[in-house]
Amino acid sequence: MIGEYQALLVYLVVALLVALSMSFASERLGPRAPGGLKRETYESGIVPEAPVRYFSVRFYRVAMLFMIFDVAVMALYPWATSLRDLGRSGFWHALPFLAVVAVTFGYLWKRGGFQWH
Amino acid sequence: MGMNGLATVLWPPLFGAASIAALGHGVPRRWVGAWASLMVLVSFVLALGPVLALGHLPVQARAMESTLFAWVTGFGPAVHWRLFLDPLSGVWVLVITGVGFLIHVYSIGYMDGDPGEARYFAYLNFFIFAMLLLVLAGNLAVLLIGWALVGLASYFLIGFWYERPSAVAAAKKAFVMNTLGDAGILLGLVLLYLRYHALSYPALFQVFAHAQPGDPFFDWTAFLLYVGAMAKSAQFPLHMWLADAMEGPTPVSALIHAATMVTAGVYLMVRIYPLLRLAPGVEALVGDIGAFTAIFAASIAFYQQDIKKVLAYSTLSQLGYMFLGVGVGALTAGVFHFLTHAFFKALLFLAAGSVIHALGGEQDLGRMGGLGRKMPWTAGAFAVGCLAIAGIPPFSGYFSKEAILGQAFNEGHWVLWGVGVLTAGMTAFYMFRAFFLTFFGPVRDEGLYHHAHEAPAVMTVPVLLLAVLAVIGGGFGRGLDAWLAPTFHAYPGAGTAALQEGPLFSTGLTVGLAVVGGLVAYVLYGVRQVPAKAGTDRIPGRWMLAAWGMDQAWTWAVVSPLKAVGSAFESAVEPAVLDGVRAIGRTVAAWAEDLRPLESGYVRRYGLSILVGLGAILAYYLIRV
Amino acid sequence: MVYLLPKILVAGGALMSLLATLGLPRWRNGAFWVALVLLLAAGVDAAVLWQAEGNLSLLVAGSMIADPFSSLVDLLVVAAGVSSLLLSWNGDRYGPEFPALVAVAVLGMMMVAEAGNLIWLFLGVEVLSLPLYVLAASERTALGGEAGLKYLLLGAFSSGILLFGMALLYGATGTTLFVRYPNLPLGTGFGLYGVGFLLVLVGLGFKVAMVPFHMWVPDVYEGSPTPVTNLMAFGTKVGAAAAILRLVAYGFYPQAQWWSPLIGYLAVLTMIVGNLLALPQRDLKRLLAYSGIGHAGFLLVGIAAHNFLGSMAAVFYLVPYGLAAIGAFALIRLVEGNGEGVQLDDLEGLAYAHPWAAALFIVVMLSLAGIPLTAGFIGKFYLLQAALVANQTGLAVGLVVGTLVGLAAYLRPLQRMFARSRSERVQAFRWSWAGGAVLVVAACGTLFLGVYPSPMMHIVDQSANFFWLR
Repeated sequence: MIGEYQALLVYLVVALLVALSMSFASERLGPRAPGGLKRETYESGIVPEAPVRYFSVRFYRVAMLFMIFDVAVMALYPWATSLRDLGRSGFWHALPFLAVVAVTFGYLWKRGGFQWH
Repeated sequence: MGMNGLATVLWPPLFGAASIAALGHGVPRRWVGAWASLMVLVSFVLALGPVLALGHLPVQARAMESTLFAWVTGFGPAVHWRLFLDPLSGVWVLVITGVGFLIHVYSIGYMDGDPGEARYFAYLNFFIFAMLLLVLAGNLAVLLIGWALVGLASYFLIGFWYERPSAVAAAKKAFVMNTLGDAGILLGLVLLYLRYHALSYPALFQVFAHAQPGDPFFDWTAFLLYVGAMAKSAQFPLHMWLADAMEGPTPVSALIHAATMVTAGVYLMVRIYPLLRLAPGVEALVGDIGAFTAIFAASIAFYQQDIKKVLAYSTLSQLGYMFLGVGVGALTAGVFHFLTHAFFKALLFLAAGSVIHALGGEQDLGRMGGLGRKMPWTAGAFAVGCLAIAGIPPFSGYFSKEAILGQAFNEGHWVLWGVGVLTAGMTAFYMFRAFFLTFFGPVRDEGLYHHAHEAPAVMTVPVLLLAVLAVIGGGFGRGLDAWLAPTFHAYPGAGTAALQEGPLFSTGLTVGLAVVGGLVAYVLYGVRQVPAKAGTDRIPGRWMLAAWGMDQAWTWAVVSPLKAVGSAFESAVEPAVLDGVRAIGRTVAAWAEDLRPLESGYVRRYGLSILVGLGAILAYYLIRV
Repeated sequence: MVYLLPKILVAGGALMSLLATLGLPRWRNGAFWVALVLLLAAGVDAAVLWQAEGNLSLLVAGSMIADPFSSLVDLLVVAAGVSSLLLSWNGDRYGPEFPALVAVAVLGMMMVAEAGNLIWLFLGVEVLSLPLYVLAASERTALGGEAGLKYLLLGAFSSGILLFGMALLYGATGTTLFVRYPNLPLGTGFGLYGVGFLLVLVGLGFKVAMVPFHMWVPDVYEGSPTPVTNLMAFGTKVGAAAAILRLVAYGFYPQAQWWSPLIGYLAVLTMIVGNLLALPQRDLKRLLAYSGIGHAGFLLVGIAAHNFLGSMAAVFYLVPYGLAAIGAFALIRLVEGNGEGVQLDDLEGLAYAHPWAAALFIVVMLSLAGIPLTAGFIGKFYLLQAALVANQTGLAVGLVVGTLVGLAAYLRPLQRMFARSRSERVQAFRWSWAGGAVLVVAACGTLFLGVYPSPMMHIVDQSANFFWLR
């Protein structure tokens, strides 16, 4: 049993050792020059021409909320298509799920999660 | 749960302590004291049932056991919470709750108006619980817990007035010395457990009954247990804490440091008489040190200036008598002396407490005098106590002291007997010295005298009840002898336990010396009205007043070297060790030293640690399989 | 369905508490009370279920194991959640969603302990961790933000390892229902599924604060608000320890001969490192963090012993540890007041200014140290016994050494309390009913278990009665 997977073990250990030694070596051997150019935005080696404008953090919030509810609603599609076969019990079983989604949605709404400002 | 109600004896004082601690601040102060006293009284009444039932059991099996529950079940036999009542512990239980009740009632008056009244009664109730646990313990483990809890309660009560530095220092000293004793018992207990896999009295005594003396194991265990008894009962050289313990409130001194707790050592020594049979050397040591403590403490009491210190040293001296009794095999006599001592010493302390109370906290004999006119009841009670402790017939102390000395003589311990007789004379002298200085002679401090008054009834009634007991207590001897006989017949080792009559000339000599001692005190302090300080400027007196320099000796011989070792340790070894420890901590911290700000490097290190761990685990299996 | 009720109550508590925050500021403590009441109801229900359940039953196709052990863990994590809520009393500074997040984390802890399926286990770990990431940073201080981010990053890392291990296990066995593994022809040797098991163990070891996966613990405990630290120290540890126990007891018991020594080594390492590093700490929360690491080691002793006594001792030990940790954090909460964190020097003079608080604190610290007459002593005693019965002398020695080192660490805060001077914190000390109640209950429970452990032993005996050990 073990012979079969010994190679995998060896592989894992070697990989770890390499990763560790590289991390360690760069720590010890590499020169350190904090500040200066390192503070600049990295543009694949090209010197940035103008100060970079980041996306507002609100953008991420909206995107994240969209993702969450998108995925949640997506789970309802298979349910909706087979509702006829699932019958009454299938209908009732999905309600708690909908309630959870609705409560969080309501919470976000009332707390102003969807407002830009 | 115990079917015979042993456990129920324990709960009222514990409940009292808990309820007072929880609710004591919201209710009127008087209620607190009354409630605490009631709890002890309930305990006393509940204790009467099992103790009386004990008398109806067959003589061969006059003991009750009740296992509350298993405490820890180990690889070997389990250690149980086990209670045990036999005639011997019955005596202690009744004295603890009975005298304890009287002292509680007295405390209502004494502590009236103290801001810590609720705290005081909570401690006091807790002490009663711990003491009951100690004497009702069915095995050495439970005994040790009671033993330690009693020490804790005593620590709290000595340091009750914690604003006084002297009280805190005294509490600390008592705690340290008692812990020394606890360690002794713990070691003895561990030795016994390792050898016999049992800790309960019947199981151990059964083994001892079939063993023969000569094995050093018995000497060691008996000695270790004796060290515990020594510390708790303040035997030389672990005696100093008791004098300092007088920093606590006076009723505490009466209850803990005279009537009950300090006799726990006597209880333990009598309890393990089957073991003492196997360790004759230790038994002899008990008697010798007891006799030495008796005369040594009596000599210190000669010139004390503080009324409570006189009583403290007299307690030491009387404890010496009890141990002397145990050492010469006069077990019943030792217990008898415990009983009478509980009466008359509690009486003396409470009477002294009334005086101190009347004088607004003054304890210096040099500022008292003439108080007999203002406090006739207290003076009378104190006189009864003095007569009892001096061993003047027909007061109680006469009978019990006679029993010890007479038996010491009969058994051929003439040196111990001689020391005891001499001490009896000294006792009479210093007790009557305190009596005459306090209640007779000229008024030495007008201001104090002017304000003095007889104590309220709540204080005088318990004192007078104790006075009655101190008078008639000697009559209990015969009954006690018969009551304890089943305990001492249960196992070999107590062949000479029963009370004996001493030769007439021994009695005559003792009483004669006591009378002479009392008369000398009367002439010096009652007639010639020598000041309290007299004699303390010359050599023996000065040394006696300074307790023979034992405190300094301890400081010089033990404390200073220990301190030196400690500071050497602190300066040399500790930095090395701590540095080593800190170095490990620093190594870990250094991994992330420059990463205090919120930057990924810090977390990377932690992640690395996880990876290293994972790699090590995998490598371990790679090598192993 | 009946069995699901405690979880439904907790989940409902989270949702309703979330809704209640919308009523702010008119009903200021609404969210708090809703969550508290529903958590308590869940606790009561779990207790009822504990009595009702005789035997093990599998729900949701084996994903959930309904047995007394699950109910016991439910009770413990509810206790952790309730104590955290109480410690957050009047803590507007933690944000209105605090109670809801606590309830969600408690739900995750419940799921972890009852999982019979790797997917369920992973879901539980995530449900438990996500709210904690937020909670760790719920106070806007530099340290809080640092704690939250560190916890998030390292937690994600450990989740990755956990998931990788589960993938390997699935690959090796073809099922994620680990309760079925003993029935598969895996043999007793070490194979691909062995590697998978190790990775899962590392992922859970991270949560339980096992050395060397512990390095996040001090920073995160120190930076998080005290009620959150309390939840992590008790709840997370209970959940993760229960999951490890469940995993080895239900999925891998035939292979005990190769995982037991590993857990044994890790236990010794954890006990000694944790207690040793607790020694030089100056911050009380950091000290408790290292103490929590050390106690994770003690728990592992019971698991490594892999006998009936061992699993009982480990489950039992959760209770004394939990009580003591709750008590200690309650004291921190009382002393810190409106501030954050307590240095050892802040305790100066506490014994004189507030003797009751000091006395209760002494009880719980002595229990952590394992002094007789406290619950900690009984717990360590059973663990020692389990190690000796399993003939693992090394474990026993490690346990004793770890305890001795720990003793020195726990006495240091007590020593500071008896210092003469009074620190500013002690002068500003104010009792709050909620914090005081938690401290009193924790200390009294500690003493009670130390004096009379039999009922708890009986409960544990019924709960940790894993069939493979009979």
